[in-house]
Amino acid sequence: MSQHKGYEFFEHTADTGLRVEGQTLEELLVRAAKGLTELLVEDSAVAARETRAIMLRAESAEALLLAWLKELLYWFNTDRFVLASVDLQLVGETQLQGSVAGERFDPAKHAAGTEVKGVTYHQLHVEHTPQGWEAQVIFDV
Amino acid sequence: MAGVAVPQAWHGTLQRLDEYRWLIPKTGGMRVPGLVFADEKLLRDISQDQALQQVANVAHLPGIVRHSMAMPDIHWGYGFPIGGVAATDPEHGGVIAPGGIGFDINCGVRLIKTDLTLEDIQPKRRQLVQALFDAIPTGVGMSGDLTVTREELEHVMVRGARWVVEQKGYGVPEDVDHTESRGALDGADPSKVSSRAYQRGGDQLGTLGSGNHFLEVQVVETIFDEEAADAFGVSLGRVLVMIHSGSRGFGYQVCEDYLDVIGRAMSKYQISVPDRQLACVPVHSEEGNNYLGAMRCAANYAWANRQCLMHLMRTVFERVFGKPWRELGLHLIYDVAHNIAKLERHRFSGNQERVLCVHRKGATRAFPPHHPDIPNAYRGVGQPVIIPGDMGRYSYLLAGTDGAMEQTFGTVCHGAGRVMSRHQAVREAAGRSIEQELAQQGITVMGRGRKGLAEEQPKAYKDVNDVVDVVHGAGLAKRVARMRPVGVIKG
Repeated sequence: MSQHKGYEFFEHTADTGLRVEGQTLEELLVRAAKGLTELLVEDSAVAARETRAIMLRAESAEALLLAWLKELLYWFNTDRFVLASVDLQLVGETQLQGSVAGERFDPAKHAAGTEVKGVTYHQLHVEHTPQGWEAQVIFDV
Repeated sequence: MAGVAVPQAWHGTLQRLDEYRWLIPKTGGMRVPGLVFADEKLLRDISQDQALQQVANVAHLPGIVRHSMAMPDIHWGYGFPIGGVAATDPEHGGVIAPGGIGFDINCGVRLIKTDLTLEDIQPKRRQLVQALFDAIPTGVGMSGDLTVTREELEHVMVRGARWVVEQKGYGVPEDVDHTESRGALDGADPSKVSSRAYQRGGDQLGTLGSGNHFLEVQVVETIFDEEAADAFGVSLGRVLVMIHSGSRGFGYQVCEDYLDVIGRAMSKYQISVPDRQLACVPVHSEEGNNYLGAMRCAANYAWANRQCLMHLMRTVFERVFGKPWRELGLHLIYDVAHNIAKLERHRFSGNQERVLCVHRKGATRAFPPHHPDIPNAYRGVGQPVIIPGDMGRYSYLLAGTDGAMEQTFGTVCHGAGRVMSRHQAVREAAGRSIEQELAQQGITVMGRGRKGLAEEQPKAYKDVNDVVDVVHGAGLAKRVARMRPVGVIKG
């Protein structure tokens, strides 16, 4: 696990798994979003040209992580929106609101990474540990 | 970190039935046994991760009949293994599971013949591959040139490849005749598709995608069955074109939407499954019916997409070779789906014929000679079955047989199957240029992503020869021709 990034990718035969750690659930969600962005555009520099508001509610912390990643993927797939930074507040463990800054994908500027088809429930878990939070999620690529 | 899953080898029981067939006996909540088509060599790789556990998990699905089956290219997926086949009986509580079809609904392959030989294309090989790469949108974040209105998208959902041919003039009726299900499933219902899927589908027709999707220029290097090869129009030294793509973001969104809907509905039908990604509901239920309606829209979208891709390819060949595509003989041999569920009539348990819901997740339909659902031109030899290999070795053209109807509900493998994870493949490729290595073997490769070519390098896949040996040996399909790649474009 990269201490700096707080996330790492792991082996899954045909798909790509992401493991994330955070001091708080907010930090975990932000890092998971950065991991997804790295998959999509590798280490390209992304500018914060546009800010979008987000509010999500789910039944559990796991469902919230899934809904969050699905929303970001949907933004990427429809408006080509790539994330640069995030400001999130949580209400409990099942509701988030905040803002996401980023810009439109530009093939001249951003690397074309992996096409992510979906965020799966397969071996999905989010856990509150004595050290903070940890999670894993598998993307269908 | 605690609680983290790593691939674990299979330690369950596997009974050898013969050289090519292995049984996972029924235990616990399994409703039928598992049946794995493989030889000892392939099984060594297959047993390294959780693919066989997934075969056993699929056997828990309500209404599953005969076996939960695995093709020799099986590998670890989510929910279903990739290379998994399951048929359920809707009249006896049989279910439909979106995970048994996958995110890329009707991902599939089409194979186009040409009158060109290797000698014709060698002087222009690089120019041809570059022109294909420039004309066909590939990779992450790329839109197609063909944007459709919401109303047009609904026509695509219902009429599939036919709409593209009739309304856009992208191809000819003969293309539709040479497409599985004639390029459109009946029963597609656009009202069951979410607005998110509409959003994602609007600008992705005629785009290849990334990952393992590709367009390949190939040359026939071996003929195994002269009669079938004649019927399919392939001969030694002839150039073919293979296209591998699916329903793009449209299909991914349909799958995502219904995994949620169906996951929530399971308790209503008192269904419990060992893995959330196996979420399912009875075929005869409101949710099952809605998913079928939406899934068929995505399947039809995929056939339209591959028809658009073939049209783009034909226009590139016309430009590069300075002749209309008909004069170059660019006719569609066939198009097969390998991520799909269909209601089909099959005989099982004695001689009774039933309509079953056949899930093919990374598996290809392979109907025998004289089956009414295959084109007239192929009735005598069986359905063409297209099996892509990796981009450095081979791909195969097979023909369906009665053996598949008897054993696997008319189904065979879909490709080589991965043996290395994507990360492992990237590590393995460190310091090497896959592009140069392939160029030395006479293969021109162009890809957009930096990691893409490393992830898709030949060593990341099983040898497709081994996979096809099992399919042929087990009598599921017969070998017709083997092709090797000479030009590849990837996302």
